[in-house]
Amino acid sequence: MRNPFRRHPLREEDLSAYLDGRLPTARSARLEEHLAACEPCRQRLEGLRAVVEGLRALPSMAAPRSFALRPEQVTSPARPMAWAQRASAFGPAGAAAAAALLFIVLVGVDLGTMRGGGPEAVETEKAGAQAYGAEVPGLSAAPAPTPQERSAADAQEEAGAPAATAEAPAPAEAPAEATPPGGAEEEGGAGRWVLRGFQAAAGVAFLVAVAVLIRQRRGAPGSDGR
Amino acid sequence: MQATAPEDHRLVTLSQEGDLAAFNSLVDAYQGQVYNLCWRMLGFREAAEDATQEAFLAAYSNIRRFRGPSFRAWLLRIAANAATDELRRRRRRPQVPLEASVGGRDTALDLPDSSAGPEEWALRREQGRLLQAALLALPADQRLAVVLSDVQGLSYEEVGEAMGSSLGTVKSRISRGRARLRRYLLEKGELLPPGQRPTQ
Repeated sequence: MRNPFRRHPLREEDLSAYLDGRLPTARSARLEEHLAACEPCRQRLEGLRAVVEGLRALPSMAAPRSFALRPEQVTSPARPMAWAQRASAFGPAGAAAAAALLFIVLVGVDLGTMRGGGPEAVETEKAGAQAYGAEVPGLSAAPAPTPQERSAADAQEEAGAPAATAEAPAPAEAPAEATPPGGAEEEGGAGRWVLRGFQAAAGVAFLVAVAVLIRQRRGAPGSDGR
Repeated sequence: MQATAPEDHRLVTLSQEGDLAAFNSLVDAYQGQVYNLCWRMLGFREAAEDATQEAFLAAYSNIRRFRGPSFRAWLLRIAANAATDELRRRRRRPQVPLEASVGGRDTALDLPDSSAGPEEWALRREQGRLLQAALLALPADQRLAVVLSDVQGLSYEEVGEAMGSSLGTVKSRISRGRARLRRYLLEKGELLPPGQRPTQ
């Protein structure tokens, strides 16, 4: 007995595309070859052809009335808003929200810096290392050594100092490392001042935007919005 | 794909500048196609009129967003959306059952065709009634694909643009819609003439 799927290897979609002349040439040739030998598929194709012809012959209906638009039905077509227009469309409320968000982000960055990796944090961790370094020699969570620390360690290694000495530095070296005279501390300080400046500006912007918003709200009932 | 004709392009440009008279020239040119699409999707006149009016209002207020290539496909997409919205609205609060109106007094199939004799006209009317009932029995996505392709005569590419679908999806929907119509007519289609009668 022959496998029916072998007898009808083409899909209904192929028959439909064939009717529209949209089947690729090679597949079209295969389909025609199959149709020549397969009466059920020929009948299916003829059925689909009758459907398509029937649909194409459906009467076209005249519009029962004019759908022309009257001026009172329409407003001017919506213009896709430019970026600046979109931004101003939010008004003072949007500006206040943006300023508040900026303020929060800046304060968050400032706090994060203090907790996670700022100069103060370095000092705190170094103090910890001084206190516990002898008992916990690895202290792998300590921050990467500064260039000054690296050069000091290298110098000790070159001088033949044992590694354990570098891990547990002498108390006399520590104060010098904790307050390095280099530019890193000054840069950190300057950065902090810039950050504070931005925070202050964002705070002022927030207050101004809120004030404008309150004035607008107070003026709204009397004005017609124009 | 059929690009926007030069005259349409000029009218679209004027409409984008707010020229309502120019837009109404486009309405005159396309209202037949839009109304036909809505009617085939919805099945009766009142709903089709509402959807057609909504489609032109939406087209005018969004005309500045039209970027081409085919104004017709863009407009028919808006019309298809309007018809789908109207279909949903009427299903939520049914006033006239859609299927009940097929073949009723408000169907355009009652329009006399002066070129046909009385017998042929009666036959066509019956075929049209049956086909419209079969169309309304299709899922909405297949109905839209078949109407755009076989009733409105859009190419696969234009149907894809009007439906916002890929070419593969368009082919599949048209094929499945036609297959369903064939099965529907096989069950009810004794009225088709022998040359057009679907067979198994």
